[in-house]
Amino acid sequence: MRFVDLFWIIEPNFSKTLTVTLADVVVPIAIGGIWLAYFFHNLDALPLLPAYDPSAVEVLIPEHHHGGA
Amino acid sequence: MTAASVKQLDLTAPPVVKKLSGWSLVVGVVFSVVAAVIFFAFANGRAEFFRAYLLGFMAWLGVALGSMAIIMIRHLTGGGWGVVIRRILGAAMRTLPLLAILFIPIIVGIPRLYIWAQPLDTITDKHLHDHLADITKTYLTTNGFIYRAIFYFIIWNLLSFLLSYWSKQTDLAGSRDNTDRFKTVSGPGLILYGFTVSFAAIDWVMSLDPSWISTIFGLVVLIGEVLSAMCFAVIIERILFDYKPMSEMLTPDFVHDHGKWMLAFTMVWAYFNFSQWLIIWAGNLPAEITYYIRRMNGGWGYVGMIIVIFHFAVPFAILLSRPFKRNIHKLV
Repeated sequence: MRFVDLFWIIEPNFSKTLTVTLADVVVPIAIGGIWLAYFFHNLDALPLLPAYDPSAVEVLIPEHHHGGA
Repeated sequence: MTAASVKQLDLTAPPVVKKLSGWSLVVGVVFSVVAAVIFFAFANGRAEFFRAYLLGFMAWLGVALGSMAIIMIRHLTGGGWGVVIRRILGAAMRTLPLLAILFIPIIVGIPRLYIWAQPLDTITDKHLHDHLADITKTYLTTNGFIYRAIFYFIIWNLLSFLLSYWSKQTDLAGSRDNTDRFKTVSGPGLILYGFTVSFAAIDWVMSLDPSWISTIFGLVVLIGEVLSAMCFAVIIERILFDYKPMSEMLTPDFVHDHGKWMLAFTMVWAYFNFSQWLIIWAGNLPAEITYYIRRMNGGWGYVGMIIVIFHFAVPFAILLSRPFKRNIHKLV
C-alpha cells in the first residue's frame, strides 16, 4: 500500500485524470529487483544476530529461562 | 555472551537468502530491459519513465531510510524486538550507497520531472510564473537540488557506515561493548534523519507542484518510510522463519512487539495525513487546497479511498487483535 500511497502523492502532478502506465509497474519492479538483490547480498554477508553484542542475550537466552533449572 | 553459548546456534543466514538475491537480480535485470524499451521505443516513453522512476525510487529509498531510523530507535530504547530484526534492517540500510547511484537518473530527468527547471518563458500560468520567478533564484535551482541531494546522501551513508561498522565489530568474540557509541550516534542521527528526509521530500516530491506548500509533508513521507520498513522487516523475518536460526530466535513476544510497532506507525501515518488534510481543507486557501481537489477528482478520489481503507482502516482494525499480532504467519 505504500506504493499506492506514493502513486497518489506523485502521479496527480502529471495527470488530472487517473492514469496508470506500463512504466508505473515496470520501472518500480526493475528498481526493486536490483535493490532486493543487493539487500539479500547484504543479509547473507553477516550473521543474522550480532552474537557478541550485549543485547544478543535477550534473544539467545530468552527471559523465561533466567533463573530456571 | 560467551563463545560457548553462541556456538550452540549457527547464526549465518540460510542458503535461501543467496537464492533470493539471485532471483531478485534476474527480475531486476529483466524489468530493466523492459523499462529501457519503454524509454527508447514508446512515444511518450521518456516522460513516463522518469515519473515511474521517481515513484519506484522513493518507495525503495523509504525502506532503506526507514530501516535506519528503526535501528536508531532500537539503539536508544533497547529491547529484544529490535535485536532479532537488526540485521534485516541493517542489510536494508546498507543499500544506501546503491540508492545514491540510483539517484543519478533523477538528476538526468530533472527537466522532465520538475516544472521549476523549465525556462520561465514557457510557463503560461501567470501566478505560477511569478511564484517561480522568485523561488528559482533562491531555493529551487538545479545546482541547489543536486548539492542538497549529495548532502543528504552523505549524511545517510555516514550514519549507515558508523552503525554498520560498530555492529560488525560485535560479531567477533572479545569485541568491545559498543552500546554507548550506538546511543551517541542514534540520538543526533534521528534528528538529522528527520531534517534531511523532510528537505529531501520537499525537493524531490513536493516541488513537483512548486506552488503547493504543506509544513507537515516531510513528516508524512517520514512516517510512510518507517512504516514500510517495519512491514518489510516482518515479511523478511517470515521468510527466514522457515529456516534456522530465525526459527529458533523469533518468539511470539518479539512478533507481538513488531505488530505493536506496525499498529503504532499505522496510527501515526493516519494522524499526520489527517492533520495535513484537515488543516488544508479547513484553511481552504487557493495555494493549498488544489492539492486535494486534484486528488479527489478525475478518478484519483478512488485511489484515495483505497488508501484510507487499506493503508489505515483495515490494518488498524486487524492489528488491534493480540492473537493476530503474536502470529508471524498472520502478521505478514
